Amino acid sequence: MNRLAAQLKTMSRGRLLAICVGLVVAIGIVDYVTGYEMSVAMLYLAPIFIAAWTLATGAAVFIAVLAMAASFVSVSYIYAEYAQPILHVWGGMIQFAMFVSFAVVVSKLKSALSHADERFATVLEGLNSAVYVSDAKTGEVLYANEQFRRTFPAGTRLPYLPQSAREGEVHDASRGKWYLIHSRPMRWIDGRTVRLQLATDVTERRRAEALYRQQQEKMQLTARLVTVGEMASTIAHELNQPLAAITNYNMGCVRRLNSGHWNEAELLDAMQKSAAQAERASKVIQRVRAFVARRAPNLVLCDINEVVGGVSQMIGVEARQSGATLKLELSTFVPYVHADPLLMEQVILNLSRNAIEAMQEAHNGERQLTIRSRPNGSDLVEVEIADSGRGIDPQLEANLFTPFFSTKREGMGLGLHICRSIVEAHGGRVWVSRNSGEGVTFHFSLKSVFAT
Amino acid sequence: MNAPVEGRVVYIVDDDDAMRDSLRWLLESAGYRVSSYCSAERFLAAYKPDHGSCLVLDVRMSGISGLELQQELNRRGTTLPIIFVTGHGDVPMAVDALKNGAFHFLVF
Repeated sequence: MNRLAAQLKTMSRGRLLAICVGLVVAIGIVDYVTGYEMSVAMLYLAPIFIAAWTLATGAAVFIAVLAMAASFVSVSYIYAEYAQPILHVWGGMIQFAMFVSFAVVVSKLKSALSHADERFATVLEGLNSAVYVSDAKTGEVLYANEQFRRTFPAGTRLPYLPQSAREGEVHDASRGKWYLIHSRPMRWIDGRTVRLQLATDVTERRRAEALYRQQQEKMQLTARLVTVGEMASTIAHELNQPLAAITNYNMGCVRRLNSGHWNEAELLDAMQKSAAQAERASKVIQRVRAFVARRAPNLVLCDINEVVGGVSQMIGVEARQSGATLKLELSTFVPYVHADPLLMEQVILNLSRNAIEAMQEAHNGERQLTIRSRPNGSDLVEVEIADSGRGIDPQLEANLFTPFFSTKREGMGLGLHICRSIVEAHGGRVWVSRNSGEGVTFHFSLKSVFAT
Repeated sequence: MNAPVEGRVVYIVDDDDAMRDSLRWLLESAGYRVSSYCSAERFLAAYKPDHGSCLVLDVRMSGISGLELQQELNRRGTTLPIIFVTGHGDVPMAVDALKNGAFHFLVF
């Protein structure tokens, strides 16, 4: 039955019409031969149906009229048998009305069905994504829309998504493209199990994302360089101390050797101390170099307390030089986080330097910088950097994180913006609050490894 | 070089351990007796007038700074000469120190 339907579909209109006419004539002959004792009028419905299903309404009505004519002619030789000849005409009219309305109803039904089909087809064909249905076992493509035929011409390989996966991004090396594929199993119209798949080209999106990541990395590197630049005087001082000490130890040795009054143990001790100071200077340089070194963001399981501990040396030096004291209040119950330790150092360092600077401006009280860490539930880890400065002008608060907004004479206005973009890239957030006493606290939170 | 004054002490106040220790080593090579302190507070607690020959003082320290110590000593009326030693002094700081009677302001 399906094969016959498929065959009918491929035939030309002229041939179909000829077949219908042929059928009507054949049935008419049978009708004539069998006589009035056996009614075969029902058989005329077959050619009428075929015409209505495959051709226009007009053609179907034409076949109905033809069938009526054939039926009328084939039985007309016996109309004398009727009590009234008019009854024969009456019967023929009823039959005619039945044939024509059958032709019209079938034709309308067919056009309604094909309209519904067309709507779906138009939507599917118009989609930017390739939609296709393939046999779950053999992989034979049973349905494919226009976009599919264009993207994957017959005979080319389809991007492969593992059977078990519902969706995923797949790289198609032969086309150099990335596809986002959605896949779901379903039962096809003939009962077999098939996979409905939807493949969308996401190459451009991925390229844009990669570009964005690159720019973020560049920005973070720039941020580190800017920080180092701003810290140049601190770093110079950090180097100067050990270098001055080395000079003192060496000059002390030279003077003793020149004067002739010396003892070996004393000189050895001084030389060793001098060497230790050279080491101290080299550590400063290593630290700066490691801080600047360019590398891809590296998310690892890390202990935020360790990060604070690592960067607290640099902060401590800055604090001491501006007469502030640094206090660490680190909770021992802080869960681990997935983060890049160097970027977290950058955030803590930036916020701490801001705090130190805030306390330097017109402030004579105690200058106290406190860095705290604590868990917030089991999902979040919070780090706080609290100062005892004079606080933030409420009018400026809204602009705090805006790039290139700065209240400092030499500030670039990137520090807080960078902090926020780093923390947000880690899925966390940054905010500021007023202390009950003096100053403000900058907070940032990160998702802990226990967060769902 | 002037001969060291016998019996007189050079005071060092610096919060950097290495600086303090190396300065002591250097000054001892010139024959001075040295007494060193890691903070201005410790120095003030130990200091008795008319004992020292001079004070070698760091400018920036946590707690009482070098300049504040100088002012405190001036208030107490001591005449101890002060030599400031600093890694990052600027002109206003040096002018301040010298106006308040510092003997010298050394930048290394």
